Amino acid sequence: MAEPPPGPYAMWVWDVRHVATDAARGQLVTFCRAQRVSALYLSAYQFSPAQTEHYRAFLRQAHREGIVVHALAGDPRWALNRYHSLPLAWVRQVMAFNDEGPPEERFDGVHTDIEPYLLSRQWMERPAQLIGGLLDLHEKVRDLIHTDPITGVTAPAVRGSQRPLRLGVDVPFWFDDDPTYRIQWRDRVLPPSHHLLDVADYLTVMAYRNYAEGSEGVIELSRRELEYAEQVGKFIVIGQETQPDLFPAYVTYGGSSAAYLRGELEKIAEAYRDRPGFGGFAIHHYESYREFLEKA
Amino acid sequence: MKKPEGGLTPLALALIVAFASSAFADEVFFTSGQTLKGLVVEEHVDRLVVSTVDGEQVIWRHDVDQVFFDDPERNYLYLGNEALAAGDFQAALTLYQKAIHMNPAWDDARDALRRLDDRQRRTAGAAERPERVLQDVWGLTLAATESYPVLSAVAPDSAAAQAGLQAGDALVAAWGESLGYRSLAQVAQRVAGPAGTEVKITFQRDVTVLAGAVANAPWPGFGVTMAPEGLTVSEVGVLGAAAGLQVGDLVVALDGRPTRYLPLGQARTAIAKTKTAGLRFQIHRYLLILRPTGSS
Repeated sequence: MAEPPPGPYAMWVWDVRHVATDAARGQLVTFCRAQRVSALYLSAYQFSPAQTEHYRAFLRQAHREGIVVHALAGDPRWALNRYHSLPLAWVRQVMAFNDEGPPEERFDGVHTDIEPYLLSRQWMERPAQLIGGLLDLHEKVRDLIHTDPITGVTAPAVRGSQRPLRLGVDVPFWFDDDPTYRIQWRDRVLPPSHHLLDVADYLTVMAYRNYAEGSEGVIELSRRELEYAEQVGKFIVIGQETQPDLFPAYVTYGGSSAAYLRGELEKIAEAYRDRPGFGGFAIHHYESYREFLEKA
Repeated sequence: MKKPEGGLTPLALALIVAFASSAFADEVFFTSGQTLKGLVVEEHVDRLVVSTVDGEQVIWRHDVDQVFFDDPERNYLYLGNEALAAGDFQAALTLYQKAIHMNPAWDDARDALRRLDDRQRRTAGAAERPERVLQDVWGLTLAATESYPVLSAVAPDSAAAQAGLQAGDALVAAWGESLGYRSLAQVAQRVAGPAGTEVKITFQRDVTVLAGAVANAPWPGFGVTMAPEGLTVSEVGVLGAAAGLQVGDLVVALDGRPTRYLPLGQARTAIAKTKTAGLRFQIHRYLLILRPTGSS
């Protein structure tokens, strides 16, 4: 397998069984090492005693390798204000998990994948309600993870004796391309992704195209998010898809070669070289990326 | 055989105790603002059956705002079904794929993808009178009951008979979607479809095994086990085979007693104690049926 171009690289891991056994954990860490993946968005919604042990074992191993691990969860309905208690309960669970373990067994962040537009009818009828709810939710999450458990004070500082969780959010590239989704929130009219950059630590922009250049290429599709991220001292990670057989075919590298993927990522990395707002790539997702590289 | 009915999840009693607390529970949110915690054990077109600490409760869908499942993949399946019902095939596809990302081995999610594909085909070439198609081309006559439709007649040598269906069988699900509590026209729409395409039909059958005089001992060669889906036939032996049982059959009732909460030991004892009168198994089994010519 050829090495990928300079990253850094993040990767989604949806199936929690990839951290459920020693063998699976070893395979995942080995893959990360080979592909220079230094951050994982690991599906971690449930915290049963058995799963808690799996997470801890994996976090120890990943941290020894220098891999940061963000707890990943989401549901389109989380964007509805009346259901915010559910994601907030999840974040509290992640925080409690961290509080109960030593530093090497703690998640480094929480990462949400909510995609409210998948609530098709509500999105058609009331997109502003869903976008507003999405923004409100992330503000609440930010405040929660920055609240000192002893004093109850919320501040963008150290939470108790711990470094607060980082907050990352998956967003589609078109959140700032379509002017109809600009929204007034906290007295400013901005695209949803820009509001989210104000709130979160970083965004992962799902810029799912299999070519870097041109007006519809990844570089252009992620440019405005990157520029806004730099304005507010944040960064974006550019999401790239590797699943096979998606429609339309240009949303994924799935049908192409590893050499082609490498070439396109090099163009993107070169275009954004030395840009502080560029936080590297996020590959979607572990299983499809692994299969893609094995076939290539 | 995996979960043969849409959302059917047989449980052990221990789980009921577990969801008395907030952990490991599905949560139904009503339009009235009330909530109910439990485990959703059946999903039908008009109702849900929820197992709670107070026993099973039938919940009408028109009273439900949302259901949040403890398993995140089940949330995506649920939302995919909602999107499909609303006719948003693209959102349904994305949501089903997310469920598969989280649990690639989960048959329910894979069946849902096939159901989506099937729905698109059927939408493209819908028969005007699917009930007539079932009768004239499949050789099936359906009769309504209070729950699942029953095959009141199966024509000898017909496509349905050749596939393995018998008069008296009840149709439980098509591609994992419950056929219970639907009109016969709705059932026929889901079963009939373009000739040459597949449909996965789950049916229910009563099978009486004449046990012989082997009191207080297991039947020779016959065995049941507790699979994640519920009490499952693991070995048929001579007696079971003669009666028509098959390995993989899901046993939903023994002598009319539902097995959903029946511990494995008690089930084995009930089977072992059966003497000459025989034991009535109500089973669920699925068939992959190639739709016959002329069934479009």
